[in-house]
Amino acid sequence: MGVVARLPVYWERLPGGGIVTTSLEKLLNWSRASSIWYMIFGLACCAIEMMAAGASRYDFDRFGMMFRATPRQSDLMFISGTITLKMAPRIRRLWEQLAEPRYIIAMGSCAISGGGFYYDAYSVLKGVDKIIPVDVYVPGCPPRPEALMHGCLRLQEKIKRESLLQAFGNFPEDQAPPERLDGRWILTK
Amino acid sequence: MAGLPFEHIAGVIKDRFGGAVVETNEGNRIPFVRVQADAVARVARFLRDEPSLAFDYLMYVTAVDFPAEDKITLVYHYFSYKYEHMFMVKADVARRGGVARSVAHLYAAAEWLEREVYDLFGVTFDGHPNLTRILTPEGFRGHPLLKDFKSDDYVPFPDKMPAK
Repeated sequence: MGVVARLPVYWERLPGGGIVTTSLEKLLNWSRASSIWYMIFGLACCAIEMMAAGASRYDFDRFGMMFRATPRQSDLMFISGTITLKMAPRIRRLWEQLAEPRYIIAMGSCAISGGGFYYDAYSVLKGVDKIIPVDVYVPGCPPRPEALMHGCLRLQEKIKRESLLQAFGNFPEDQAPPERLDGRWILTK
Repeated sequence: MAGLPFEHIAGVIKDRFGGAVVETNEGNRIPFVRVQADAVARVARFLRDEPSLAFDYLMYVTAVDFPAEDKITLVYHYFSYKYEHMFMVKADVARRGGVARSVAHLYAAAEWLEREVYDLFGVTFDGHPNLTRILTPEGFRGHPLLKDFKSDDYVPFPDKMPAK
């Protein structure tokens, strides 16, 4: 075999003379799923757990996950905490700035449904999926780093299942993202 | 070091602003003096500039809504780093369209604190340099800490939780 002693598993599984597009897709998906760069962006106490998961004890690096300080270079954004109505248009804008293919993990009760701020709150958005599409929901208040890590592994599985057309923004009708929101979307909603 | 007792400060305020002082309450955990809303700034200037009082720090400005009595009570809490004594001043304003004199020209901190009270309670501060909303998002309607606040998003806590 020369220099490469063993090829990655997807190459090994190639059927002899298999269809090239399928193989390319698998190779690209494998590389995309193995280098998810996430945006360094935290909202509330869930962000502390996210930092713990990224630091050496739980170590996101071993999945090829590294944080980037800009949405332009990121694949993934954790919505880690309470989304206030004031923050919601900013999150929407960050999501628009993420380069496709982009993924969102809603972390914790607040990002999923408003959580403890569902009742009697005038200032909290009741779930981030009201403004952006979400790929993986990780419940908890806040979720343990292990739970977040599990969510990331599920995201990897999802990426590996995708077709390239899906990944680069050709959504089927039923998966299309919400329409672009007005800057004053709270009034027009 | 202990600073002046409340009775002394209240007495000085009463001597100086006799007509404007509505009430002196010492039974409260933090005793306070209630003054008329248009005297708030005059009292603040006196508290700051009188050398024997030297209240150089405005700890907070906040408000309390009393719908039953149809009033909003503004609360000013002063502290003196020189003498280490505290003093609380209250003033009642109308619940709708209430106006008080701004103290932002005396205490820089009051600029944001009064904006917050304006944002959450709808009290206007006469003479404030930039009285705009500070906490709620752009285009927000209403003043959310009023007890009769309503909005489409608002889900009140249910009296009885649904059975499982």
